[in-house]
Amino acid sequence: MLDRRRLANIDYWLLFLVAGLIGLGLGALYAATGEPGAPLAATFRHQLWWVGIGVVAMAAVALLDFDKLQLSAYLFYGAALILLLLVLFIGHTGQGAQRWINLGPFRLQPSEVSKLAVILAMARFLAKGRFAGSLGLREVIGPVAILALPLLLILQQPDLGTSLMFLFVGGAMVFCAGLQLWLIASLFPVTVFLAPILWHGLEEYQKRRIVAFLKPELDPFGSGYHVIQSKIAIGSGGLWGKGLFAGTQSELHFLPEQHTDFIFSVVAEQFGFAGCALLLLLFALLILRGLEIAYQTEDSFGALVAVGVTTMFALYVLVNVGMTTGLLPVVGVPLPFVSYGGSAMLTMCAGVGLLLNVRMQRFRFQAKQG
Amino acid sequence: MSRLRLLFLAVVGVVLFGGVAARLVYLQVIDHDRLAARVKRQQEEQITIDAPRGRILDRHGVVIAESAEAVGVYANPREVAAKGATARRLAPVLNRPVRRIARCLNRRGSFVWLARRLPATVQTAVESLHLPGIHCIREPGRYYPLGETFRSVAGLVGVDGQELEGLEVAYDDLLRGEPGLYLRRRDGNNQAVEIRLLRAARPGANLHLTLDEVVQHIAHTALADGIEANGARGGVAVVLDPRNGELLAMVDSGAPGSTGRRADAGRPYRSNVVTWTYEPGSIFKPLVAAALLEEGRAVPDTLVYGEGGSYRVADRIFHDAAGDHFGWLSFAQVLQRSSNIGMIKLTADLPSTTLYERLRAWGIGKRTGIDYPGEPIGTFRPPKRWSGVSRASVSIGQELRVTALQIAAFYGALANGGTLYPPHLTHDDVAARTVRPLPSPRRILSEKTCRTLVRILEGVTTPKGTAPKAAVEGFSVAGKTGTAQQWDTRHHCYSRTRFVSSFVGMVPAKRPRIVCIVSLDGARGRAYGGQVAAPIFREIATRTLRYLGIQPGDGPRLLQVAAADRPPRLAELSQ
Repeated sequence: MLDRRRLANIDYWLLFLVAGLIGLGLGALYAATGEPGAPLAATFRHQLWWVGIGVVAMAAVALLDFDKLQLSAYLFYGAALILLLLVLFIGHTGQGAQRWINLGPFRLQPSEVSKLAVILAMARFLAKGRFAGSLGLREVIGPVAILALPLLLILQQPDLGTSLMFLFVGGAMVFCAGLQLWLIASLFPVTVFLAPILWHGLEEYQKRRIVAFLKPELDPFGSGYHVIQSKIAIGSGGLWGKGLFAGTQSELHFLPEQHTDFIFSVVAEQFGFAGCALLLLLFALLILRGLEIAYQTEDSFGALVAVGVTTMFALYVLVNVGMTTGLLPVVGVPLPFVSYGGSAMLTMCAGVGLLLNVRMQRFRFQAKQG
Repeated sequence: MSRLRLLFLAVVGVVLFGGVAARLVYLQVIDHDRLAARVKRQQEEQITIDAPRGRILDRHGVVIAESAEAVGVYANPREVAAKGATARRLAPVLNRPVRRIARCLNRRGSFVWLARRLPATVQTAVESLHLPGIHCIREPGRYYPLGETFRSVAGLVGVDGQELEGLEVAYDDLLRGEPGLYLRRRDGNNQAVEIRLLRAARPGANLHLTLDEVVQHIAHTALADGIEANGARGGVAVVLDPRNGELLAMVDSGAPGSTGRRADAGRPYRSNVVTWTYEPGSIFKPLVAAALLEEGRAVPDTLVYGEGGSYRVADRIFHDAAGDHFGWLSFAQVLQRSSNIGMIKLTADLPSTTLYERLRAWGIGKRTGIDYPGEPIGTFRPPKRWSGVSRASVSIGQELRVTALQIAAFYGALANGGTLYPPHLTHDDVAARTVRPLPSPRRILSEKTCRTLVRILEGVTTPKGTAPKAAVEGFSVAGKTGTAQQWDTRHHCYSRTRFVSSFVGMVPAKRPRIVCIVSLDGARGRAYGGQVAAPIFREIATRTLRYLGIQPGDGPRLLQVAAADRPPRLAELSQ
């Protein structure tokens, strides 16, 4: 299984980008949690552990047998559904939502890890090739069902951000698999029709966040507070930033959730536009690399997995940065490799592992053909 | 797997990343200055801490007002669980009713004052109770150790250090100093993380007054006793040094000029000496007499017929005081026996405008310029608004309203040979010049007029005059009584029952060292100035002369008080 040729085909570009991002992420976390001269914060040490676990997971996923991965896709999917169900019954509640399962020393957030399972299941379903690159209304029912089950469970927690992310990742995969154009076109009127109904179903805090996003100054000390303080932090960073630990917005705790969802604001305040641009550039290269892997992969299961994982990365980054800069409403979405959080780190690393795995398969097909 | 669609996704991704980057450029470059300013605004705040306020001292350095640390007690009602019990335990310590404290504790919010400006010792008492949610804070307090005696002169400083009344207002710029400026940096929970001194406070300067604690005390006691003995509503008394206009004492008591209505009760921290205006009556006659002398319309021997006690001018019949049915009187006798008819007839030929101009020039209907806030101009109508009886009325001190200070200032000029000094309270030239410039002294009377008039007025305190009770043993006193009917606003006529009884005099008459005016409002009975105010004058003058070490008679002084020596304090004198 571990043949040398596969190892020789490791995507060093991807590894380099991910290593860079993890490095920058640890730097940002140090900036957000540390103090000059003080010992490392507990959160920082936890994150180091998670990076280690993530790297192991990345390697493991990268070296899994590709065919077995495809075969067991539905198994992972089933396991993910069970975890999501468990959350609803024995889950740990934090900040108004029930999202975590206690696993002794740490907590697992099943909605994070279940993303990969859903991507695998979707890819497996769509890769059967029956549709020959053209998905009509009838062919879409299957993927929609695969998406809908975990989506409904996650909405129960409730976690609107993750649910929307599922929707978009699934959408991108279906789109690349060949969704018929008239179906895409009909999405717009359907959305317009559904929007008021969905609004009605939202939790009160979710409605507040959307209103706060549209008009943050209405309630500067309430729901608009996060966005306003985040924008102030980012803007005051300027071109070159205020320097390590010199960000007063984060040091004086004006920034909320500064080591998790709003860590980008810390980077922006302390390292300025230069730091942000570097971070965004690495993410952009990672995503382009992911799409290139999909582009070059002959196997449609692998390509769809690559599309799903890459779209997931892109959405994480765009939603997180969009939220901290006030372009999008506040939804609890972490910045990959940078935000503190074990489940997310594990998911991202495993996602990279999938990309590496897919990339290595490229040559297998070539070898078979050749 | 559509590669075209993959490319489309890549393009969408690049565009979206570009959009995010553009947003960052907007926030971090274009909007940077505004957002950076907001950081400063929400994290930094400048706070001022008042400088220690300067002291107010009498002419010998006795403290009239001083600042010392006090304690304010406040509560955070959210932290107070047992509100009733807390209020009951605090009440005796704070000396406040239980119900009031309980009401404060039941308010919403996280901060409420329970009591302010308590003595510093209260802090330990409060803290020893260990009540949750009750806190003390040090704050500057203002103390007036001499209390009542100087209350209306010194004025008042409010709870938050803002000046409210009296000299505290007039010399606030001097007393306040310059507040200290601090920069307070706060964190997201509004907790201070750093307080840095930007500019140190400059303590306020001390204010030295011309007032003398002992003379003030003498005047205050004599006036209060006199008011009580005569059942008056209130009164004022002033002692000034005619040589320079320095006020040695300025006291008020009760509520002179009040109509008894509640809104009229007056302001206890504002001196009625400055603010009370009244019809002066006969104490005004010397001013008119001075005008006659200056105009050469009369000499002391000029005779005038007293008409037997009543005399008609236009539609009004004037009377002399009850029991007085004068025949022929000299000009001097008119003043000494205070004949209204004599004054009216002597003034009859004096043109109204001449009379008006003279009196205006001597300060009637004008502020004296005293360095104390809220001085009115009084009431003195110009001749074009006079009726047929106005000149007659003015000549006996009616149809006009004055303040005690206006009259005292004129008598001061009379006493010093003709120079009008603005009465003033501060000893400190710098303060007077920088904070409240005084009008400059000016000559208003010839020395001859002064000499003549003072000699006539010496006769007032002889047994033949109206005020033998103003005589001071061993000294000659020149002065004038006044018993002024007050205008009854309800019945639109002069009241037959309410008078302002006054005496104003100078002593020693040959070379006056003090001028003193005493006016009482609403004394019982007929309330003649010679009966009511003159004894108060005598009390004040006698004790003040003794205190100042001025010897009886006009001979050489036997006892010289060295200039550097502090005169004995009241407490020492009474031992």
